[in-house]
Amino acid sequence: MSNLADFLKAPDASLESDDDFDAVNELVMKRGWGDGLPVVPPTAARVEKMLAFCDRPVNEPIAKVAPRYGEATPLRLAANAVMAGCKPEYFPLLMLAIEAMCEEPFNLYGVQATTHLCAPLVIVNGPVVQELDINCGHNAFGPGWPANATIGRAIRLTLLNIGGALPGVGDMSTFGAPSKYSYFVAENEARRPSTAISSRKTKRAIPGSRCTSSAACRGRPAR
Amino acid sequence: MSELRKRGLVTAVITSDPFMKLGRTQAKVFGVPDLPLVQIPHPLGGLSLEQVEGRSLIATPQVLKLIEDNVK
Repeated sequence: MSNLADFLKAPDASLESDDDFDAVNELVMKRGWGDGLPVVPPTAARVEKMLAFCDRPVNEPIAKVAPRYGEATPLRLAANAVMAGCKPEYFPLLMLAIEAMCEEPFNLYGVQATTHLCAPLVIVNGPVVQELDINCGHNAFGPGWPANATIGRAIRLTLLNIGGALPGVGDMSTFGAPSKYSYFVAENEARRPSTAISSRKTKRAIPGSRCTSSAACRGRPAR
Repeated sequence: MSELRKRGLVTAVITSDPFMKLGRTQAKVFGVPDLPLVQIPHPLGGLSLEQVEGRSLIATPQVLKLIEDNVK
């Protein structure tokens, strides 16, 4: 990733700040970035470690995120993954999830801008579940599991920071929901092999692997 | 709607109050920052027929003015 330094020299590609937790978080809050929780400072060094798990051109968009239709480049996604607290090995799943939910049939615009409290739910299955220790059992929706918590949070930060789903501007949800902080689980394939996601059509796969990801929009059913 | 606007047709989006900001933002995103927004009171759901008619009475003059301005 030797050209990362060059990309960061581009206008507005990076900001100068001390690598100080409080200073960076004050800056993030002032700019209106993030989900309201403190973030891990996305320094160039941390972003570079994240991008070590990316085999694509770091500055070419892999998707456009509604409603702003901001370009989700690996570089931008990596910054959000760092802020969310992801381990670098989680990064391919973040890219996969964002690609899945930006496919036109999913209608991310509708999910993001609606007054409803729905949020995209990402379910993964395959060997990656064990490899990354993604919870598919007790408390799968949290709290207490790093992969579930941080990948889900990175997705939300992407929807906010790149997609522009800001409360009252791009996200018109009347009440919001806890699922808008993090909504990422693994399928318990061993318990339900006959209905595994991998046997269905709506999925994305990491090239060369048996990992799949499905995005669904979940909210509480209307009564 | 943005595509119709780009073709030069008289175009507007009818928007309830809380959605004006979203409407303006989206108009910019889709390359038609001057897209007219016809503003009506929120909400739209759960209205009686009389209330729906009330909304139309607020929207219609705005639409007619838009047409007239474009004809001139």
